[in-house]
Amino acid sequence: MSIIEENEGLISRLQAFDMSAIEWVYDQYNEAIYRYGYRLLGNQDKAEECVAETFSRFLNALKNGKGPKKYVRPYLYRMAHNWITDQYRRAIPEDEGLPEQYASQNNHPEDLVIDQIESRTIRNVLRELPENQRQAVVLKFVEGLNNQEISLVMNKPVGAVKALQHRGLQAIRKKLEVKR
Amino acid sequence: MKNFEEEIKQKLEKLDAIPERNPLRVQSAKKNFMSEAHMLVGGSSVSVPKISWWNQIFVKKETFPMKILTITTILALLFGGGISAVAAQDSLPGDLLYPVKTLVEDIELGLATKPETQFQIALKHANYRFEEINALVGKGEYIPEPQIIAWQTQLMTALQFGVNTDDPIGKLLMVQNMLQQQTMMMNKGELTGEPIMNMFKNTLQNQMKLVTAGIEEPELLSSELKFMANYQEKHGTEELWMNMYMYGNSEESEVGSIQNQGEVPHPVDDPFMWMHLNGSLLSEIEPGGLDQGGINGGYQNSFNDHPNGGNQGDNDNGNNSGSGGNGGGNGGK
Repeated sequence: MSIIEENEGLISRLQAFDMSAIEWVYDQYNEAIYRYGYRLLGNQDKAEECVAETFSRFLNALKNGKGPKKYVRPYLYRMAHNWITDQYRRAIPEDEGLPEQYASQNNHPEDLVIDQIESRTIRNVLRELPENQRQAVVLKFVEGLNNQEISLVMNKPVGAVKALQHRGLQAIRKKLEVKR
Repeated sequence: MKNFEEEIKQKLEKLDAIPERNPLRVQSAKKNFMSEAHMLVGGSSVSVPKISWWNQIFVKKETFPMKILTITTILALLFGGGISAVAAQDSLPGDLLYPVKTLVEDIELGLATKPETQFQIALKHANYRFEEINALVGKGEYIPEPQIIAWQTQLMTALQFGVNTDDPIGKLLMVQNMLQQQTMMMNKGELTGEPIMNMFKNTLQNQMKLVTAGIEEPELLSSELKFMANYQEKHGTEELWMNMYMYGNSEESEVGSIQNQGEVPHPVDDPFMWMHLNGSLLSEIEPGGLDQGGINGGYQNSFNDHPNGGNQGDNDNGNNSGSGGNGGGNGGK
């Protein structure tokens, strides 16, 4: 859902702590935040924790008279990003062992393992990027947000977002070459 | 370029494979969320964001005397100091009234208290310095070196204020835009052979690189500017820029030979290399080094913030100012 499709009265209802509006936001975005968390952390428990923490912070922000001023989705992504960044600082990169569960849609065992290894490699490369490059690249090329939305999430001009994406893609390429 | 982008995008798509969520867990998570929401709303009344009347008064308190002071100063300069302040606005370096012009500018900047306003004023003054150089070039007159130094210093001041605003990247984009226009104007000039013009163009180019790199890594630019300010405080403005010319101006200068001594070949045009190299070579520039002077704690901090002085884009620690020193040896590989 694009930011412009959000209900115009949504923000004022959220600021008034309207329960139905709060529930709507959760239903609308919890899956996206889960996927964002999983893509970057590669762990279901962590992804669920990401959802719980993001929405809990969202509630507390609303309670304290803060919260989103214009758009909800970029705001939630920003909060999820902050939480994930904290996790990156605490945790070590994913190890080389096999994952707890195969995530691929591909049913061939060998391909499943290759997909998993590639996913883990790209996740580890992403976590090595400077924070703002990672955010700009993932939101655009993985989450599919447009640059206008990303500029809202990152609180940076669209031009700066594009520059970060370009730098991020170049850095990923170099890091992947090193890992080969 | 497009091929590698497509290749990376395809690799990123691998992350789309996400295991199905446990429905019971999803249900439970939502239940927890709604119960937290009910608890929060039931606890006490919800505070609604509003503009505090106290803040409104505070803002007025801050800006009103400022305006009075500005108006008083302008009136004093107009009527107390005569018409000279106005006449001085069109003066050029070397003119009798030129010092009046810079004095008025100093007062204007000194009266500003908010980083946003300070940035706007400093940038305007930097543009004045450029226009003066351009006017001298247009007249076919010699450009005094102090004029180029004054322009650089003013630009550095503007950048320092810019990185302290709420929107540093927006401000840096403004500076970048201004430098692009100035570069275009300079390239139209015909005095390409004169050493002073070459120096000015090189300086303009270096400033552009610095700002462009700062747009991507504002924290790093901030460190560089702090370092420059500290260096200026200890050694003076002229020494600062002379030093920058020596290390940052030419591909055949000492920069090339110094960097080739290391194991990692850094690009010669690294915008932050001056800070990095000076961090390594301060003892050669001045016996005793800057960090022993006692006035310059910011230097050490600035240097430690820098990940490796080479190619920051490739550096794992590029955004981690707290542990910047860790990547110093191999980040550019």
